Amino acid sequence: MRGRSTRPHAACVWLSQFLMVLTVGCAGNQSMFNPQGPAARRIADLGLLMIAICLVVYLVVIAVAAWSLLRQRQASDDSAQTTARLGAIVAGAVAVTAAILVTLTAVSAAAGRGLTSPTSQDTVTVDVIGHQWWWAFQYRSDKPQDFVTTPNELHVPVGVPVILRAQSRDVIHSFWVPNLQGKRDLIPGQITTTWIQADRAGVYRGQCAEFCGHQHAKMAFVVVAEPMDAFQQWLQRQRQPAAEPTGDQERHGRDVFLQSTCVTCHTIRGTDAGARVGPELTHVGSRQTIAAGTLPNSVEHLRMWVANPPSIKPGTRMPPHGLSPEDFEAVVSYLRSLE
Amino acid sequence: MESGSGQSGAPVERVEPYPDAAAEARLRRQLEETWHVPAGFLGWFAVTDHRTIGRRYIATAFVFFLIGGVLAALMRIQLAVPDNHFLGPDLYNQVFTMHGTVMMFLFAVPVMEAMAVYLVPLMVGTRNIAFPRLNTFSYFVYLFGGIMVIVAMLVNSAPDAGWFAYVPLSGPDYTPGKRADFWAQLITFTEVAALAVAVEIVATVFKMRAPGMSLNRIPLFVWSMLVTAFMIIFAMPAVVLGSTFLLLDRLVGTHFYNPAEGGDALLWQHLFWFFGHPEVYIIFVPALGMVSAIVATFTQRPIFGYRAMVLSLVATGFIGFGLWVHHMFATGLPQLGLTYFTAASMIISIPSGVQIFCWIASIWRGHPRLATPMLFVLGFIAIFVLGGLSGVTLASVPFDLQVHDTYYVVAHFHYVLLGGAVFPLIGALYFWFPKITGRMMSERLGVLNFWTLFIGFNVTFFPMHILGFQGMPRRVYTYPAEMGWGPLNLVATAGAVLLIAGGALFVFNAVRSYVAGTIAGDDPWHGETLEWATASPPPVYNFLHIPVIEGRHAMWDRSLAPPVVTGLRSDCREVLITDVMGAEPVHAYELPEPSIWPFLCSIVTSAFFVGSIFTPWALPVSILPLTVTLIGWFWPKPHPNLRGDQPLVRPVEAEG
Amino acid sequence: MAEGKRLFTLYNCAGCHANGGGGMGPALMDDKWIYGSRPPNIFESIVEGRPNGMPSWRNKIPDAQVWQLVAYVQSMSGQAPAAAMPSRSDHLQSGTPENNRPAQTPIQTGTP
Repeated sequence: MRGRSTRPHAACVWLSQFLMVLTVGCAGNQSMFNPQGPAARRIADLGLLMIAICLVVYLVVIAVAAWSLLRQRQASDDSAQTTARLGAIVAGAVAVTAAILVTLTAVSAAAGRGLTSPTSQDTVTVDVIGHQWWWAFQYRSDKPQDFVTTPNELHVPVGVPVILRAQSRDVIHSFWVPNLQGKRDLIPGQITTTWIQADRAGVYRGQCAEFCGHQHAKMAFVVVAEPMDAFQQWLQRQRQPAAEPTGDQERHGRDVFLQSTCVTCHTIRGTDAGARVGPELTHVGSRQTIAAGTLPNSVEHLRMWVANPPSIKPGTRMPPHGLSPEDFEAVVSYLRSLE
Repeated sequence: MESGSGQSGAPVERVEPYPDAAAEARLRRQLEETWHVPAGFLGWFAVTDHRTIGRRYIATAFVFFLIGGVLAALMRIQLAVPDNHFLGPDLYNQVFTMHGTVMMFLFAVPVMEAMAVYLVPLMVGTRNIAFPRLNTFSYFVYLFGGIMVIVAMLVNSAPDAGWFAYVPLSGPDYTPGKRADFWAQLITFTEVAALAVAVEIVATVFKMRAPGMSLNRIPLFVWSMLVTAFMIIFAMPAVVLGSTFLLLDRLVGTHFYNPAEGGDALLWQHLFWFFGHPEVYIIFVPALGMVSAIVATFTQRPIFGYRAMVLSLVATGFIGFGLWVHHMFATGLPQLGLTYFTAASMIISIPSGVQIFCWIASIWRGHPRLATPMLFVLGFIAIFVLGGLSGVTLASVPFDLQVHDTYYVVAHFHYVLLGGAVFPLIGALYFWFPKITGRMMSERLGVLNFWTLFIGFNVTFFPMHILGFQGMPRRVYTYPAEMGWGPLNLVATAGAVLLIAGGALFVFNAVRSYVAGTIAGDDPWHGETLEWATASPPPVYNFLHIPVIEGRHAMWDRSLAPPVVTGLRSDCREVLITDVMGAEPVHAYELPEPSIWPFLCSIVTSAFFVGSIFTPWALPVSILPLTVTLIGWFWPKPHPNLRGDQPLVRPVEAEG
Repeated sequence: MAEGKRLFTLYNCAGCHANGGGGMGPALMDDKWIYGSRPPNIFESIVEGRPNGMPSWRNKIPDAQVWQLVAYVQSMSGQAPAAAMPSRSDHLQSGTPENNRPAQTPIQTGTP
């Protein structure tokens, strides 16, 4: 049973498939090949270089293998001379391989060195605290009463390096926003550091990248990059306690909140609610997403989430509410008012 | 000796060193009786014949392979579309953990060891593997460990913290119940089994080779298994230690991994990956040996650069121990450490590159014949080289920090494991099926099998590189539609269907050929190594006479009247022990008879392992039965043939 | 039981009961049960509250979670099956792991 000449045909199929699909990888929000900051750009450039080299090496190896398979055999193939020549060629190929690897190691080390320290000394520092399955971002300040904790939404000023000091309250998580930087694990018992910088204003999605239990898949966050003044304004607004409810329904909602299961887990600064089990809700109305990046923040989604969290994130610690329909609506409208 | 005779399946002519047919028939009968495999129900548990145990190991490993494949199919169905509800997160976590655990611990390593158990004694020219009772024990321990974790899965208690079970997630606080305990104890089961076989392989290869098989005449497959065995011996203790610490933390209340009390969550990662990286080479290096065997036979030329090939195998084994931190690049390590592990992870491609280049050179100067085993080797080259190159990119820390824990890594390791180990394995099974069963597998179905697997594999796993670039992390039970990952996931699932079809086709081909395939004869492929010198399937005593090896290629360098060993007793289970370097005969050694005690010991051991998950009383309660079974196992046999004037062991000389 | 252990910390039961040793509230890991040691009794203690300072958690803790706390409270005095009880926690140790505690026979002590 003779086989067919399969190698060149397969190589062609390969190449076209690869090129076609590669272009798809370049677009997309959470794509590493859509860099929006200096660190991610360095990595993307390094990545493209390595992929290009690897592609060339692969095609050469496949081509040589195919040719070796298909070539016309000759009587001199078994001679000592041919064997010696083959040996020299193999040795040469190994030398070229080694040279390529040394080059890649050097290029990678150079890129890595540029990644460990931020681009300038003028930095903002944020603490990243991972929980099962949400993020707390804490902005410190000279005065403890000015500390700001924003869950699942990290605001950064454009063009300024932001140092992230990362720790975990429970299991190992990993902070990763591909548009801006490589990932950094959050390990209980240690503080790991990394930094990010956005060069353009925009919203960049990130996601937990170390398996952390049931809702690892839905532990996302957003990084909002805005100009420095907008960032300072935002920070100032976050420092304010919760807005006083203006309408009756919102006031009733606040009362219900403080008397039901909600208060045992959530903080709303400016009220008596001070529990730190779940994310802080002081400014929940102004956030872009809820449930750790799982749902866009709208009335409908807020209703869905508060009504029955396990239906959206099975395994979550937040229980379904036990409220009457009016009380429930009141709480939802109160939360929406907390801008 | 040209190819051609192998194609039709006609046996290569053998020279009969005993011209007297009656004497030879007497010898055959006596050897059959001495080396008989115990029959009957109880006899099945007492078998110590390496070929029987090897076949059982391969078959059992394939059952686990199919289970792992079904689990993968479930994962692919769940991930085919965004926001799918086929599997909830709890079930998905169990499924992906079991997929990895079953494939890595219950299929990949055992099947490679199983091929060694079957083939190594035949290739080195001896009658059985060293420590045959340990071999039996190892198989049953492996079987019981596998059964334990499958039963756990069926009662919703499958481990669910990933096949690598990072702490604190797998610790007492975050994985309640017994799930992680079953996982950790499975490690214990499979590592005991693997270590046992590794020790047997080393002993067989070093001390039981046929005379004349000096170190530089050992077949490349045997070299690869020797390197693998040493890797197992040095790597397994790390994971046994790590998993024991985890069990102690979970059951007894120690604090190895509790940072609040002085432990360290990263300790687990170091211990696990110090084993975990060599583990993948333990799976991969045997495949390198298989590829060498197939390429040599199907080009009808010796592999180019024997010495370079051997040194590459050894170098891979050594360097493989220095890479493990590349699994931990995101944990915030010092820069110097990162650079060292980048360099080491790059350097390991050099020995693999040497192997690829030597195979290409072998193909270049040989006369390739594209039978099914060779097709799988070509598929291996196409797939593994790509996987190796994606591995080189992963060695770079900055790049890894983006693609670590994404589907890019999933693509990489499936390319190197499926392409680099399973393709050669399937090819090897097509290659050695005639030897094991005496029948040929269907060549037509084989070609179809290759293409289904090759196309299915690439359609499934190539898109995952792109998904990794697009930011899809690993170990997620679903993903949002707006990320745009849906189409490529659907493509991957479609490819998985083809992969499953390929797997089913292989099983069908194997079963049908077993029952009704063409009779193969001794040496259908005109093979290079010694296993082709005996019948297919080999008789229970492997070789009528232990051969004397005359060259590196045992079959091709054989003279017309090859010398054999005489003087070994055929009325008891005597084998020839030779020296390590030059395989000079040293003395004769009597292997133990088949016995039920290794099986009983494995029952007690398994009961001890499983029981200790539930109560510390398991240890004191098991000590007595364990001692009893071990006494039964090692009870010295009064030698019935010992006569006053004949020493128990004596040197023998090989005669021409 | 593991979930109950986590809730025990999250809802600050330790504020009065410490980690079983008691303080402002009675010890939970000994054999003395003022209001009964069966699960319905413990459930009521949590939901209704008790005189002398045990607050009512009705509407503050959902019923399903109360039952998890009940299971954990039982395990604190070793009254649950050993194979099901939690082991050591992932923080500073305040006592022996629950699965290592000797089982206490409950004694009704009446009102204090």
